[in-house]
Amino acid sequence: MKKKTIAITMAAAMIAATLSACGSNQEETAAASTDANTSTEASSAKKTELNVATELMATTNEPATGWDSWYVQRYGIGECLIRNGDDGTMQPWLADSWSVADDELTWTFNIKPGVKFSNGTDMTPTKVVESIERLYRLTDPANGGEGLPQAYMTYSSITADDEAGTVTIVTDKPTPDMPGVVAYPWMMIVDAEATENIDTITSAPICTGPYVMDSFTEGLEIKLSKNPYYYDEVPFEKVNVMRIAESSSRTMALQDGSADLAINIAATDRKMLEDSGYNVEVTAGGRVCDTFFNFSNPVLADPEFRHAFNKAIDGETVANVTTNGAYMYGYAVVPSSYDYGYDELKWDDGYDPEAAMKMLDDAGYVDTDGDGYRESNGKNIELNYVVQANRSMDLIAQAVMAQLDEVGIKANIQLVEHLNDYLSNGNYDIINASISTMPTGDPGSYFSRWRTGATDNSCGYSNPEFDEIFDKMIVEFDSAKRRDYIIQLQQIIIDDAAARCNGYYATNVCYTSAITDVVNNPSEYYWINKDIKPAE
Amino acid sequence: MTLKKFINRILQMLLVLLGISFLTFMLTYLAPGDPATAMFSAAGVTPKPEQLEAVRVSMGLDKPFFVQYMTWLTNCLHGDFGTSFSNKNLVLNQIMGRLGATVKLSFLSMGIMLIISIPLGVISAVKENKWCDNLIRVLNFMGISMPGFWLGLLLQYVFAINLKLLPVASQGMGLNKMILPSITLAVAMTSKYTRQVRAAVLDELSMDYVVGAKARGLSNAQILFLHVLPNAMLPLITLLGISFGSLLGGTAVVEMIFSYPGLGELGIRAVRGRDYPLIQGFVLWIALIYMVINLIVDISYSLFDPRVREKRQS
Amino acid sequence: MKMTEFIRQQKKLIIFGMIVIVIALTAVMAPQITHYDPVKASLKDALQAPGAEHLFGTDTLGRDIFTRVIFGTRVSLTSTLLLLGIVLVTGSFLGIIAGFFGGFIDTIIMRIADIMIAFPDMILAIAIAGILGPNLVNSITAIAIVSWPRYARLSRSLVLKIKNRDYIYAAYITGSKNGYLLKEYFLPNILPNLIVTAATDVGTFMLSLASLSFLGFGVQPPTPEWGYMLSEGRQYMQAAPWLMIFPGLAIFIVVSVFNLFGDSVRDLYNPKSTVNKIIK
Repeated sequence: MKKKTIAITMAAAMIAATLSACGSNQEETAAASTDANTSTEASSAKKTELNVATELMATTNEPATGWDSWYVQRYGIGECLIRNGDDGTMQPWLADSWSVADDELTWTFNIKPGVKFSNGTDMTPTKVVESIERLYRLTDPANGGEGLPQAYMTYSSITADDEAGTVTIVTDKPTPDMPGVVAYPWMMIVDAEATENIDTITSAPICTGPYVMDSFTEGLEIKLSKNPYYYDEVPFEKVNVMRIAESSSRTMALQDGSADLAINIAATDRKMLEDSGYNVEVTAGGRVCDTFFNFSNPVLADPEFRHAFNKAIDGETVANVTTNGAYMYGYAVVPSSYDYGYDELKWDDGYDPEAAMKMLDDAGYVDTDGDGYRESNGKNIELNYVVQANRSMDLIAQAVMAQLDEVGIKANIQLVEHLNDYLSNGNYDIINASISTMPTGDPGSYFSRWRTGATDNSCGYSNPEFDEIFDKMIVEFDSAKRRDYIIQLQQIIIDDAAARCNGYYATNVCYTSAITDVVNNPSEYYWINKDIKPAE
Repeated sequence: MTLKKFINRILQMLLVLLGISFLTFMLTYLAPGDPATAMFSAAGVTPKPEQLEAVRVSMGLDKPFFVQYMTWLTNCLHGDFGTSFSNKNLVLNQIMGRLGATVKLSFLSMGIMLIISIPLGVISAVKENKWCDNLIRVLNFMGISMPGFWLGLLLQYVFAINLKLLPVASQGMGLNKMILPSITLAVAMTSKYTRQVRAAVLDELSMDYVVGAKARGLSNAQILFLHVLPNAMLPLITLLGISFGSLLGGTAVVEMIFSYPGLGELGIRAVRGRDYPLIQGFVLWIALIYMVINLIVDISYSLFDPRVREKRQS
Repeated sequence: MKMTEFIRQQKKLIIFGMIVIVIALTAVMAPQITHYDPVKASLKDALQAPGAEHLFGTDTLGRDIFTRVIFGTRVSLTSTLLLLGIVLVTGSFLGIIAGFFGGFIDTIIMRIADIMIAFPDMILAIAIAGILGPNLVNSITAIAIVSWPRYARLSRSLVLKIKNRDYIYAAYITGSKNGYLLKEYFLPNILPNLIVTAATDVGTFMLSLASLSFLGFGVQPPTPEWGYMLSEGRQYMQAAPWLMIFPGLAIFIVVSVFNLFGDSVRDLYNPKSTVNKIIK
């Protein structure tokens, strides 16, 4: 008897404990889902909560750590002095205007007056300087930092003039893309003093954006609420960002109302959503998928081989069909949607497997032992193809591999979790890299990957003509001349087949009719902002 | 359970923890690449050679293997399980943050399993070889042969899309978020456990005391509920502990499928990203949880079994 | 026992045995059964629904899924059997040595086995496969490492059961060497039990290997393997559910068959006992 009572009590206790543990959240969940449902029914009750579904979430909220700053900005928490406009131009944000002196080193920013941090403190030019100094201090390699902002710009002095309302930065080297540098997410303006007492791993720093972070459950969700001190209207009282790792699940979240806005949905589901009346905004931004050739491999160092390689691949089908529209096809390393002369470039390595095979035969790569694969110096050519299963790059790799197979070139795919290691150490024959070509709004520094001796030139390409033009371009302030140099650089890469571009990544956002004014900014830095508001 | 046995058990647990931690530590040592490069990879950063070397020294990678292991071990005993490579957060914090979620999921799955498999197992045994029994056995069989990850995907597909009964993504850690993952887990476990309940009950039914009880005039129900079931429960309690092991293993895959922010998902991400401190912490904590549960199970077994109880008292 | 009697009594064993052979034949004759290449991509035919041309539809690279499922049988069967062989041989070998020689060797081997058994095996397998690097060989190694203890324990206990019997002593006294004893006396007694255990484990091993591949720690593309095909199909759940349905179905069916086969092998050695039908 006693045994049974003990057993039953224990079981009951276990079940009760489990239910009560989730019971407290059930009310929340019920309320939240009712909100979503009423919003999609467009009832008279005004929508006060925005629900966002995204695949990725940073594990910390520290702008100085790696690329976590992107997320703090995306959540609508942090703002910079300058913003990447939706049309690709630089827009004022926390700075009303800016200018550079004739010495090409002294930049002056006019700070927007009347801005307060989310704790009520005024954002003065002094505070701006403190924020930037904090960033550079934390990321300084001498302090054990990762040195990421320093790679774009270093300054010899930074001063604030509170009365005139300006901040002056004197750069070490001429930096033509300074506005873009300042617009980079990690340059967001934080209240350095107040943030000292915050654990930026689990909470966000004090910033100026429309929303502040209420809670951060790593890998699950982030809850935000309205910043009472924001200098403009804030449309929502609360914002919930949910991490939903699978694209198909994000689609489902839109369909059942759990999410109003979903970031990055796979192309196959986008069509379905569009047909069902959801809003889909696709933009081919500045992100590309490039295949680099390792020039230390003698076969890849042969230009004939590389041109044949390009001819063997049906780039259009790969981009449009295989990745199902995740990429927009293009052969220049700078995305065609930006004005860098795509139409002026000459390209004749289009899909032509016959020509490819002839080129390979003529170059001496033939299959003598009948196993279907060409050899070089008596050994089968085997290319180690390093790829990360991200943004459909593994699909591209498989498609490329299959097509190389048809012209007799063997490639072996190696799926890795962290690409950077392999990329920077040159541990590959060919590698797919997803690169943001214009982090600072201008693709100039992107070309350092082919400049002899540059730190991020891992492929080993070296061309004195390229170097000469690159060196001129990198310090050129005149945008017309700069554009010209960039066009020339692109052409050299095409002529030399120095790398292969697989296409331009189409980022997208999908949203229900419950919200409006959603813009898919090509920079990928902004998800939640002050503009997204409930539909009337 | 006597004090002596208890202490013995604790010592055994410590030995196992030591062994497992040694094994994982050795693995990371044998793996391609070294922890320093892995650390930078996991953070997505490319270090300069001097940075790499400095980090190697600070990690103690220049010291012999045993020294490294002992350092790590002593740190663990002080509660310092290291810092995750990918986000510089303390391993302990990350694990603690996710622990609750996995425990809740496990208990819910366990609960569902017990509620279903005990009645079904009993029915199956009592009605042996009748259509009831055969139906249950077929269902069990299907449950055991079903790949858990496939079932999870199917459930997601069916419930979330076509029937719109359960929201796919819900906020907080409410029941909604746990229901599909726990059903997926429960199916496999229920199938195995029902079989075992059935076997245990059948065993009891074949015992002589059952004949004796019937001869004395007890009704079937009385025999079943007052004698057979309590006796059958004893071995089943031990099996419960062992089921927990496969449950923990199953949660890893299921959490991945449903993006459920538990320990398993953290572990898999850590393994994928070669985040060695996190992997070691994960393995250690899973082992700890498993052994604590088994310890509790064994203690309750000795509390329940009158034979063991009497031995203690005498 | 006459052949016809045997067949009549072991109906289940025969039936399931035949199905197993059919599955094995499917694997061997894969190229004859299918029309398409399992690995070669045909980019323009991507994501076609099941129909006349493609029985199970095509995947993102235009490969025929029916072909890939059939060829997947090869990968699953060979890797599972390989795994089984490794575990059986290493586990039993270590267990036999432990039981036979006893003493220090016994303690060491059994301690290590205890440590590994006391741990959820899937988690350890994931850690091992993930750290060593994702490929088929490492995933087999990982599961072998976590599975041998059971066989070691089993063979050890079987050895111990007969080690002290009189006929063993008799053989030993009359001068039989250790090797001879092992081969002629121990092995015949242990083998049946081990084989039965192995037969019932085939299904589980297959599932474990598929799980590791599903998580990305096993087979790498473009090899057709059911677990990996499932993970590829996740993204297209709504748009192309056939990517997900058929490989999963294949796993389910094949594992079921092997489980049934294993159960009937076990029944061969351990016929069910009669139960008191006192309670209705």
